[in-house]
Formats: sequence, C-alpha cells, structure tokens
Amino acid sequence: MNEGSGINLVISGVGTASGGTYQNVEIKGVGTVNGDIRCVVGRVEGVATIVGSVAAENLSIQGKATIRGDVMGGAVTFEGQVKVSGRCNADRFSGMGGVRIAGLLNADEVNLRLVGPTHIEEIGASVIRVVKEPVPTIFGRFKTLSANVIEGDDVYLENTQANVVRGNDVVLGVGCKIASVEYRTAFKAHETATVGQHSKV
Amino acid sequence: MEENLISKKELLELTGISYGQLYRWKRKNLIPEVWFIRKSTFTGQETFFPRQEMLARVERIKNMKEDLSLDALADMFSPSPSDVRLSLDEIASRNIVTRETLKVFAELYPDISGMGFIDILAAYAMDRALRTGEVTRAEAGQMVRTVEEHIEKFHGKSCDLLFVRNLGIGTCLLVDSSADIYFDSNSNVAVRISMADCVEQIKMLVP
Repeated sequence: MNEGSGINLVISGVGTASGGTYQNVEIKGVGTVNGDIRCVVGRVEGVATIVGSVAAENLSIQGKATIRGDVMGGAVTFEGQVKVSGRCNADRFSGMGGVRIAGLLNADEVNLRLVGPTHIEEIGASVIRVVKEPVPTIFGRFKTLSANVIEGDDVYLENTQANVVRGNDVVLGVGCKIASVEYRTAFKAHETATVGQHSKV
Repeated sequence: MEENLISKKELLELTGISYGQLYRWKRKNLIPEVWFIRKSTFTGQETFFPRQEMLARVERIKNMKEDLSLDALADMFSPSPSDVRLSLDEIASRNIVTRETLKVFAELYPDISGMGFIDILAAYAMDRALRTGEVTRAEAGQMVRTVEEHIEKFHGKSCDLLFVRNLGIGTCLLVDSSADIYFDSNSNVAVRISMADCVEQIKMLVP
C-alpha cells in the first residue's frame, strides 16, 4: 500500500519530529510527531502523539497513542490506549485496552478485548468481535464499548451499548444494551442483555 | 423518502452483497464518499445512496472483481487521470472519439500530434456534447478549452461540465459534482456532462 522512503524515524526517550514518508517509524518513550506520517511499519512503545494522520501497512501500539487525524492501515494492533480524532480504515483492527475513535472504524475484521472505557462512533466490518477482558482491573466497571451504529456480517458483542446493531448473524453476550437490532439470518441474546427492539429484515 | 435514493438495507438485499463487502469497497475507494448519504429515520441513523449510480457501480464491481484486483478497480473508478499518450489515429480507430469530433478538436489545436489523458477527456466530452445536438461546434470548442484549462484544478475530485444558454448567449462552466448551482430564470442548461463518468468510460477503452 505505502512505498517506504528507505528512511527510518526513531524517537527514543523524549523527542519531537516532523511528519513525512518513512520506511519504519519507531517511537520508544515519549514522542510527538507534527504532521502526517506515511510508513510501512509503525511501532509505538510508550506514549505517542501524532498531530496529523497516519498511514501504515502495519501499525502496532503498546502504551498510548493519540492521533489527531485519520488512521489508514493494513493491520492495526494495540495494547493500551488508542485515540483517533478522525476515522480509522484498516484490514484488521485488533487489540486489548481502551479505544476512542471519533469517526467510522472501517475494517474487515475488528477484534476488541475491552479493558478500559471505549467509544467508537461507528463500526463497519465483516467480522466484529468485542469481548470483556476477564483480568480484574481497578477500571473493571468501565470495560464497556459505547457506539452509535455497529454494522457487520458476523457480530459478537459483550458489554456494549449501542443505538443500532445491524448484521447477518448477531449474537449479544453479557451486559449488552442495544436500542435496536436488525438481523438477516440469526439473532441470539444473553439473558443479561437488554434489547429495545429486534427485527429480522 | 426520495425516489432516487436507495437505503443500505435495500441495496444489500437487491444486490446480494454483504456489509463486509460494502465497507471494504468503501475503504478501497471503489465507492465515492459523497455517495454515502446519512439520514435519521425512526429506526435510527441510516445510510442512503444515489439509486441508479450505486446499483450500476455495484454491478460493475461484482462483474469485474474476478479479473481485476480491488486496487486496479479503484484506479478505474477514480476520477484522476491516468498516464496515456495516443495519436489521433489510434483514438479514432479505437472508437474512443469519432473522426468528425477529432477533426473539430484538431482545428482548435492545429499542431497537436499525440493526445494525453486530459486531451482525450476533453475530446470525449466534446464528442458527447455534440451528440446531444444541443451545442454548435464553436460552443463545443469552448467546452474543450474549459476542460483543458481548468480540470486539473479539481485534483481528481469529480466535476461536471455544463453549457448554459441565456437568451441566445452561451457560456461554459466546470463545477464540482456535489455543488448546488442556481441560475436566473432566463437561463437553461443545454448540456451537463459528468466528467467522472467520462473518465471511467475512457479508462475502460484505454487500458
């Protein structure tokens, strides 16, 4: 998807850099990038703030990343916290932690293990799987996903609050609160899930 | 509900595609962002599409995705020009633009030898305009010059070419496809040509 420039960007410790086209981007420690980044592999270990958009074939985040733009990626994986002010396009979006995406999360596969409070305005994907991570944390009661619209072919949700869930095959697990479910082939809900209305379309 | 829109639900049902496919095509820019029209309905927020364009586009993607990669398809549907250079003879013999129209084009640019994508696009649009029978050759020439001069300023966004007549005086405009335009009551639009559509057609004819 992206052609790297052969140049790497490495921030170790505390640093600031400008955006641009790179081969690999590595931020270890605390880093700020002012501008859009295009790269083949992007890695964050620590805290990164990107004042711009990120396009990467592979993007992995361990720690915290704040992206004040869009994310365009092949595979996006994370452990920790991810904040995206725009939208997020990826082939695969998976990880554990807390996520905030202000726009649409558009991916083939979305796999979320909730540890912290998560808000994604809209999710559109082929396979969507959202589970509550079983490890006890002090933030235990915030292991929820809130969303406006969730649409997918194969949808499994836990601890999710949403206005609308649409899908072929929709399964709601523990702790879901969904105002309206529209499904095409199958629908199942756990006894602790509350559903306003559901209809087969 | 407006007649010319189709809801996402109805689209999936009619075409047999899945949510995953639709989102993937959106992600790969096979379907332009502006076609996704949000509306609030009693069942929550829903997305609508321009009915004819969307159904045609989905059919084309379904037919062609066996032979072409999604990226190649996206390239084809993209309103950005591609890299080609053909002689006037090649264009005529491949039936991209008729010989008559090419003659008019050659009169405008007497020393032209080969045509780049923009030239082909301009000639193709002129061909379409002349075929409607609504514009004269001189007016079509005006349209060609407008395309040649300004289309690059749209940076690959889709735009429309209009020829407007006001009490016998004609003028030519190139406008963003999603822009609203209003004229005084004496004016009427003689021709409106979607440049994005022209680009798509040319890309099919010129691989």
